Amino acid sequence: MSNEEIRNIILLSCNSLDDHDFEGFLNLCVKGFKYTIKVFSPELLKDMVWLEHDYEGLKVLFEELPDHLQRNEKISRQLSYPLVETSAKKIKVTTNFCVYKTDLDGKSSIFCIGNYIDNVCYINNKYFLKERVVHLETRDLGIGLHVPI
Amino acid sequence: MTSRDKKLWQEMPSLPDFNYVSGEVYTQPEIFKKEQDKIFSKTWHFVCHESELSKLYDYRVYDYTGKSIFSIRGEDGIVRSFFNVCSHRGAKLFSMPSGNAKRIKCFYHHWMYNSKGACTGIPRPSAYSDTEVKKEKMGLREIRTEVYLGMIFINLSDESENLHSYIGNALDDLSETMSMQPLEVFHYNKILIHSNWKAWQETNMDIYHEFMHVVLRKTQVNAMPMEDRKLSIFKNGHGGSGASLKASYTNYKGFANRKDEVGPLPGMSVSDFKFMNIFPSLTIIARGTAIRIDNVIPLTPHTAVIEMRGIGVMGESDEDRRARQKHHNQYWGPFGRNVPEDIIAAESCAESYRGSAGKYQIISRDEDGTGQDDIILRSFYSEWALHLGINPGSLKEIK
Ligand code: FES
Ligand SMILES: [Fe+2]
Repeated sequence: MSNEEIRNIILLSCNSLDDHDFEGFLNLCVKGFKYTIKVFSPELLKDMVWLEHDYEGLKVLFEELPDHLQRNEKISRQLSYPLVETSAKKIKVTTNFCVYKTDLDGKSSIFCIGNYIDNVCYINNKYFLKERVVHLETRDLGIGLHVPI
Repeated sequence: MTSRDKKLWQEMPSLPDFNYVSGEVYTQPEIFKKEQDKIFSKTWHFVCHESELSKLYDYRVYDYTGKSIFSIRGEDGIVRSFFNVCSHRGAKLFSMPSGNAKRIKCFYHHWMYNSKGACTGIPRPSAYSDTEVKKEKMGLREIRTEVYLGMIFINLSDESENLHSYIGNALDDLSETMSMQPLEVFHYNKILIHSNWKAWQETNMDIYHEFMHVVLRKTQVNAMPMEDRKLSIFKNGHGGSGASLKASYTNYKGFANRKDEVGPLPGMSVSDFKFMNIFPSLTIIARGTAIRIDNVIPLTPHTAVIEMRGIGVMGESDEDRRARQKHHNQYWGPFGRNVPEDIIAAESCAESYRGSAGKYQIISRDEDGTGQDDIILRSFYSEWALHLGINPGSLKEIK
């Protein structure tokens, strides 16, 4: 097992989302993949779920994206060095992110910050994403996003 | 000639009053100021759902018309609201958006208040002896607060009609859904938008824009005959669906399973869709299994904050809550299908009017109050005109 390979999975997953290579993203995931975006609300004093999908749900979402109205801002996920924690039961990877958007005039600004808690598994000599929980710090996302973070 | 030259572009549409709106209603600072004085300082404003103040002494802080205000459930169970301002020298009493406070202590010089707004303590008060500065006279500024269907409203005017009378019958069609079971807010977020507040509110009143959202194109436009879709307007400028509209979720792949995932709210079937706009800035939308309450708060002529709440059933199972959250998020979350598209629309129109490239907007669709009639928009602007004394199309004073 190599931590470098594990980290590469995280980087590749973000690059493929940045590039709208959704097939490439799903190829990094197992069929039982679960994806959740969580946000804490200081107004409600509880966690909120802003997106929750299984593998099939994401696949459908990706298929439907081209029909949606979007602003065509470029989204770029910048990552910290992923922290890999391996136990007998699982491989947990924590990565902080800062996501920038660049508008059609070329102006970049921060879209959101937060972290990924990824659960990675090892099947047939390859690493795959088993679960991703996105913890968002940013709660005002402007027009929002049709694509998972 | 099919395009229009400068003169033609600037000509007022030959349409009846309230069938078109000047772009300047979105941009003129004087109009914005008038709206603040004549609409927002006098009409009822939704501030939070009662589930956000479920326990005694729970409070919620929010901004409205540039003022910080809080609502608190008092020791007698009654919700009251106050300016979030210390009577001493104006420090803000609460800095967090919510919490629980049996006693309210100002951080600055430790003056104390209770949940009814009375000043209960002034440290070393003897220095004020023989003056009017005594705790009996130093209470907080209270704001009229009333509750309707679990929604807490405030009114900055002491003279306006009461909330029940103000709402009238506008929420009758939603009352079963909103009152048969205790409800709870599970989603809250605020978004700063770069548009005049009305351009946002129009997205909630303009049912013709179903064409913009692929989800609505697929699930709603053909779900029932247009002539059977009834829209209603009420006194005070409120307006929305007259009876349940229908959606066919099976026509949009990602939403196809909605009916199997969680039961409908009382008074609705999973495919029902109701909405009501309460003048000036509140919208309640119920889609069979989940409710959205959305509120727009003007900041400047060119910016506003929209506040979004998702509502579910209090005490429901985790499984039901997850499904309800999912149904809410599918449309209305920041990663949802519709709300991001609505913000794009509001900001896009605002940009045109900001640069005066856009001159008038047309709200003259007439389908006898059915289908995609603009009747709700016209009713909104008629009410707006009553408050401001200005015709929204010609910008002339109304005598
Ligand atoms: S400003 Fe609040 S106690 Fe002085
Ligand atoms: Fe919309």
